[in-house]
Amino acid sequence: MENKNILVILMMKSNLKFEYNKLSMLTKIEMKRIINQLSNIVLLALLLILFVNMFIFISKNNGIKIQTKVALSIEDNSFEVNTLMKNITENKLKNIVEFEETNLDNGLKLLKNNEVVALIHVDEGTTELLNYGKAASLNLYVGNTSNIAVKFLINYLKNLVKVLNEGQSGAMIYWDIMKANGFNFDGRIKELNKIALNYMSVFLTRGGVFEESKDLDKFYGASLISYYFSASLLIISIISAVMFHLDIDDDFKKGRIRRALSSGVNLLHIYCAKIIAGVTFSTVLLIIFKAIYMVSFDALSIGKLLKFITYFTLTNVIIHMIVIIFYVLISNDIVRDSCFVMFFLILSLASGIILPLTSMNKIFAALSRFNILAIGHNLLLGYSLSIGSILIILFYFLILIISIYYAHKKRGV
Amino acid sequence: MLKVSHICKTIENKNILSNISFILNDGDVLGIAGPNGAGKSTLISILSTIIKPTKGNISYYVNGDLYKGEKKDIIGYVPQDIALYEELNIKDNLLLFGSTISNDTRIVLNKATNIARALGLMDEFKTRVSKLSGGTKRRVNIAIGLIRDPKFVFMDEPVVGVDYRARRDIEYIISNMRSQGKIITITSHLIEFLENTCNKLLILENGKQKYFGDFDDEVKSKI
Repeated sequence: MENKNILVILMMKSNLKFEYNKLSMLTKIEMKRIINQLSNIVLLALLLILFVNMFIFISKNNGIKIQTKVALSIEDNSFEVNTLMKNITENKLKNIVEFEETNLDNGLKLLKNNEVVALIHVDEGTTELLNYGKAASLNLYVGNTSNIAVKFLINYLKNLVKVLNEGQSGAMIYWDIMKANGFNFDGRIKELNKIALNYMSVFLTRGGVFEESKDLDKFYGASLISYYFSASLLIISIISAVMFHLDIDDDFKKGRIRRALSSGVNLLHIYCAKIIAGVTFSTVLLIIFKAIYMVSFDALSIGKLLKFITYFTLTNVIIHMIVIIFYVLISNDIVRDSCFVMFFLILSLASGIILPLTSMNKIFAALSRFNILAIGHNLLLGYSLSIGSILIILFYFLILIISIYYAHKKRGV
Repeated sequence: MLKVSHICKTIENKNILSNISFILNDGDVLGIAGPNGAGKSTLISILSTIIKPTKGNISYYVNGDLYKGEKKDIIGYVPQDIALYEELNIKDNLLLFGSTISNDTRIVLNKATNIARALGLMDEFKTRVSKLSGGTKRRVNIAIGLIRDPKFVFMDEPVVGVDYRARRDIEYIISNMRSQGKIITITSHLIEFLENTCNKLLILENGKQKYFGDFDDEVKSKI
C-alpha cells in the first residue's frame, strides 16, 4: 500500500515536471519569436527613448505648464505665513504652475478674465487668529475646475491643511503639560499654535530629507510628471501587448495552433507561454524606462523598483490577457482593430490616465474602481494595494481565463 | 490497423460528412480524392483527432491491439498550410512541436535531429524558416508531423505549391514510411501524386463516400 502511494506521488511529481518543462520550452520559443521580430523591439525601444527624452525635455523646461497661472494675494506678512507660501510656490507645485503675486481685487479680476486659473488668498491677521486659537482659513478661488493643474492645486492645499491640523493635534499633547507648569489659557493657546506652526514649518522645510516618507508622498500627492509618466507606462504596455500578440491571429489562420494542439500541447501551455513571454519582455523594457526616470527625476531606489515590478507585472498580465482575447476572438482585421481601439479608448478615458477622474462624470469616477487601468495607474503612482483592489484583480484573472477559453472555443481550430 | 465506422460530421445543421467507413491495414497508404468542399480536410481532421465526429467511431490498432493510450503519441498530422514559425529556425520549430514527446530536452533534440537527417534537412537545421525555399518548408512541415515517429500519419494536401523535384522527395518519404509499416492517409487534388504513393483510394463527393477500395486503373476513371 505504502509503495503504491509513493508510486502515485512520484507519478504526480513526474507529470508536474513534464508540464513545467513543456511550458518552459514553449515560453523559450515564444521569447525567441519576440527577439527575432527585431523591428518590434526596435520600435518599442524608440518609443521608450522618445518618452524618456520627452520627460527630460519637459523637466529641463521648468516642468509641465499648461497655460497655468495662479494669483497669490498674501495680506499677512508673518514668518509663519511666509514659510507656508514659500513652500507652496517653491516646492513641487512650481513644476506645474506659475505664480503671480497680486492683491485680492486684482486677483479676482484676473480670475474673472481667465488670466489665472486660481487665486490663493491669505487674509490679514491670519497668524493672529491662529495665535488666539481661532479658526483661520486659506482661501482658494478657482476658475476652470476641469483644469488639471487646478485639480493638483486643490489636492496640494487640502494636504497642506491636513498637515496644519496634524500639527495642531500633535501639539495638543503638550496641553496638560503646559497646564501643570502654570500656563494660563491664553498662554497655552499661544504656545500650542507656535508648536503647530513649527511642526508645519519643519515638515515643509525638511521635506527633502524625508524623500522616502509615505507621509510626504501623500502630502504632495501626484505631481503631473509622475501622473503622466505612469499613464505612459500603461499605454506602452498596451502597445507592447499588441506588438507581441499580433501573431496570434496568424497562428490561427496558418494552422499553427491546430498543429500545436494536435502534437499534445494544450491551451494552458499555449496561452501561458504567450503571456509569460510578452509580459517578461515588456516588463524588462519598462523597468529600464522606470530606472532612467528614477535616476533623472527621483532617486534610484531598489525598494521602489521592486514594488514597481510587482505592481506593473500584475497590471501588465491583465492587459496582455485582454489583448489576447481580442486576437483570439475576432478574425476580421478591420472589425478587430476597430473594436480594440474603441475598447481601449473608453477604458483609458474612464481610468483617468488621460484626464484626471475628478474632471469627469461621477458615474465614470465610481466605475473607475473596477477599471484595471485606473487600478494599475494608482498602484504605479505608489498607492498601496487595498483588499478591494486585490479582489478586483483576482476577479479580472478569473473572468479573463474563462474568456480566453471561450474565445478559443468560439474561434475553433 | 485503422478502423473507421460510420463517421458523420454536422456543422451548423449542414452535413459535412455522412456515413464514412473503411479499414486500413499496416503499410496501407490511403489517398482521399474529391472536388473542393467534398469533406476531405474535415475527414483528415477527424482522423487525426483535431475535431470530433458528430457520430461514428474510429479505432486505432497498434501491433494488433486496440490502442487505448494518448492518441497524440501514435498520430502524426501534416496540415495543408505550412504551419511553421517563420521567424524560428528548423531546429526550434521541431523542438516546439515535439515538446510533448518527453520531459527530457535531449530526447526531443535527438528525435528532431533524426527526423531532420531522414528528410535531408540537416544542412539547413539552424536556418530561419523564412529563408527556406517552398520545397524545404514543405519537408519541414512533414518533419514536424513525423517527429514522434507515429504509427498513423495524416497528410492534408502535402504537395500543394511544390515543384516536381520537391514532389518526388515527398513521394520518396511516403514510400519509406510505408515500408516501415505505417498507416498513411493523404488528401490531394493531384491524381498522379496519389497514384504514385497510394494503394487504397477513398473518393468523397458532397461529404458522401463514393468509393473505397484498391487504387487501380479501373478506379481512375471514377475520379
